[in-house]
Amino acid sequence: MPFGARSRVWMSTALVTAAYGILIWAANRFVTAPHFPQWGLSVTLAFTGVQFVLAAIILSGALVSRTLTLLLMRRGMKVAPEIQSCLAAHANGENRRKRLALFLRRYPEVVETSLFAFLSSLRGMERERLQKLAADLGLVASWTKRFRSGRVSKRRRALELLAVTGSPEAMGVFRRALDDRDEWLRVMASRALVAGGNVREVHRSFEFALRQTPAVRSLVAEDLKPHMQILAARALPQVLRSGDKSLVLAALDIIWGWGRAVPVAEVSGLIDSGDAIVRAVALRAAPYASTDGINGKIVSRISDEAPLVRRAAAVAAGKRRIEEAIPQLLARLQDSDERVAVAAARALATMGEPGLALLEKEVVMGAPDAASVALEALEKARIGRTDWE
Amino acid sequence: MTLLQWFPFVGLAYNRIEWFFIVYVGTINAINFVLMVLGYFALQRHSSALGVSEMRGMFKSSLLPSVSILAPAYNESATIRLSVRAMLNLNYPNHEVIVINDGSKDDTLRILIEEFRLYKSSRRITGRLPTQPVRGVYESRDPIRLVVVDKVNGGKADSLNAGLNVARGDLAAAVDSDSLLEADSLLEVVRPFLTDPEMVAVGGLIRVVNGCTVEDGRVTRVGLSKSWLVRFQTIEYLRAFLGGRVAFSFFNSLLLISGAFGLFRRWALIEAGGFETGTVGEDMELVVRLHELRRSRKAPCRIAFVPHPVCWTEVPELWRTLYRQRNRWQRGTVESLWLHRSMFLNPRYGALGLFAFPYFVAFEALGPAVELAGYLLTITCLVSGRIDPAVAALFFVVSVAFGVLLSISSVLIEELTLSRYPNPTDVLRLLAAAVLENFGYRQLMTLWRAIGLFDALRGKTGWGAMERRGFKVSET
Repeated sequence: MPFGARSRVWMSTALVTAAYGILIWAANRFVTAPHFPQWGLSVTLAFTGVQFVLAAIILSGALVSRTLTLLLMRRGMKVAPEIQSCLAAHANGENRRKRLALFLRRYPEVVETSLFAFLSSLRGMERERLQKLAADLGLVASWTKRFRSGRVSKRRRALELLAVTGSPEAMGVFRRALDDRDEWLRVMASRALVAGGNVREVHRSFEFALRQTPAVRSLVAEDLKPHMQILAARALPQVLRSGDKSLVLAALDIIWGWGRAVPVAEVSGLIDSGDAIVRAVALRAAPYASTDGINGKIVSRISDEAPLVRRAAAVAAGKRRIEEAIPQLLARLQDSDERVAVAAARALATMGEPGLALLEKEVVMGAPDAASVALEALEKARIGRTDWE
Repeated sequence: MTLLQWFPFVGLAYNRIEWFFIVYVGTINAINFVLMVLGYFALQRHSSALGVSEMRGMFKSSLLPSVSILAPAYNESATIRLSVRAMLNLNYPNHEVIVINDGSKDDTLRILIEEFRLYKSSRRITGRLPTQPVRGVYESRDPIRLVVVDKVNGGKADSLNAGLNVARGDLAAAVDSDSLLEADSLLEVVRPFLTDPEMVAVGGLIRVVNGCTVEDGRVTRVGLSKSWLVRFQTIEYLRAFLGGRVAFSFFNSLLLISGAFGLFRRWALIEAGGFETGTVGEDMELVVRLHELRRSRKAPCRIAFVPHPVCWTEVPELWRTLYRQRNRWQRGTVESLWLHRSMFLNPRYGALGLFAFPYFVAFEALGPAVELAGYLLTITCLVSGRIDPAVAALFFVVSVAFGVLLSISSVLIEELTLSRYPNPTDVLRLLAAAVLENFGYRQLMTLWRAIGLFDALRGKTGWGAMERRGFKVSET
């Protein structure tokens, strides 16, 4: 939890405890003390009374609020079909603006939800008509205003609604939301920017993803997948050449997360980085970096000094089915690090007949450790399992 | 001659001793109340993070770390099929399930072999943690990532270590095989590891499955059991998880991640030497040890509790099973605290050494004995007329009424934040249980825990059996 959020929790706790203190003091002073002269008993009874009353109020409030929500939902469900048919008619070219404005005054939630559903599913002229309707009814302005709310749930809803309107005013809100303190809002904003398809906004989202937590990055990376060729042309190479370790690792993570071939020559250079972590992460992304000469580099790293690099290289060799790597992979079956040995065996098993034949030989004639690793790999290959490590 | 006359020091100072008990019980309740308020606000903050539906977007991502779920099983034939299926069907892109059959005497292994088409595999045991001999490792012929380790009986901690030895995930989740994880629970419990590189372990919320409807290993309808014993335990779970754990997690002083559902960085577990087999409270002992080891080396150590990933567990419906469980929990607490006593009031461990550890010693380990002594002294003195009835009343108000308030508050927090009981009648029943558990049930638990404390002091070991009734499965 960030420092600001932590201090807000402390502050709220202190305020509630202080408010309780004051209430208990008042209950003791004016209610219990006159009847119970013993101080301890009087204070305890005051505390008990205050807590009971507050608990009763909060509970009744919660139950009333739940019942009200239920009632409003039921009422909304009654008018929803009518609102939806108005929206459908408007989308088809009829003018139902006045009627919908009337509905909006009485059932704002239902109109918003229905409009959201229509805008999410429609395309072409119909969608444009409803987008214009949202602006004409003042909904875009109202949602933009709502985005300034201090409550996260309100901001989230506003952004969600703005995202389907595709209005130019909303783009400014999305850009601002990239710096919001709420994680999901940032994801939503990036998603809305990418959905617009504007190259500049795609780059903006990519740069945003590089600086986020892995949780957010994994979500944004998925959104950026359809635009990976655009990013591979300029933005990705720039970042990979930047020398900033955290950005380089994040970019390599994104390539790996996409899991598709992408032409980025810079990955090959990073396999020779002086930093073992960068080498390992580059090797993890290497199977997807379609560039010349990368196979040789992968093979050379199977004998790297760092176990995590050796392991990543063995995995990459297996994924790219580099037959030249077979001798090195075979040697790694006796690696001092068992995870490297397992990765090498798996890589050999994916090579087809040449790899399998060597594994069989290793089972019969190899050293006990290598034989056991080879046996497991063979067994998995025989039953057609590839989802193991 | 009354009992008090045999103890002159009590006879002379009984009023002062009585005041000690009042202040003691009052202090526990006041601290618990502040923790609960803190927990409420921390819970609210937590809800602003990525939620369930948002996390589902990550399901496709290969950027998530791999997870090995370790589920020890001992005579679990009643529930094993359903719970393993539920674990395999979790929404997570990269997880393996490792069931450790800890020398079951029933047909747990046979059920697993038949149900999941297992074959004796050559999977390599890469870990080096000492365990009881492994008789065989089984894997499935079907495209499911299930590994079953069959070993000689050695207890839960030993089984978890055996599971760790064959695990290959970046993270290792320790779960009870009789528990049901919610479909998105792994996605959510992994999140803190993605946002905080210093995160070492994360615990999830445990809820009571008795009374709920289970279909295909998933809880499809949340309900409250008709048994009052179960309802009382439901209240206890709410009070412990939504109050204490959220608050302790808030200042990184969590001393316990429930053995029913906890996620750890695998290397951190191995570095710490795995689970301790010599204690019955291996879950608490491990968390305290992780704190001690890492903090003494000045290595970053964050251990958190997240309230959304839910693990449903079956609680005892029989008094004798509940007695054994509580006795074991109390012994586990005392053993863990004793093993790591160097942390007590040690400023080197920050808030953990100065507040959480002393809190656990004073109120969790010794609390039952002190509270029990308070009840006995108050009743004896009241009967013999040696105490001011107002002071006796004060003791009961402080211990019972405050207990009621804490329990009610926990139900309120549940209703205001998570709201998992859809039926308002269930909420009202929970409120009734929150009141009633303080008249008899809580005192009985205090007595049992005091016995547990005594058993721990005289070095009693062993788990005791837990009778399973199996989940209530929907007929649809």
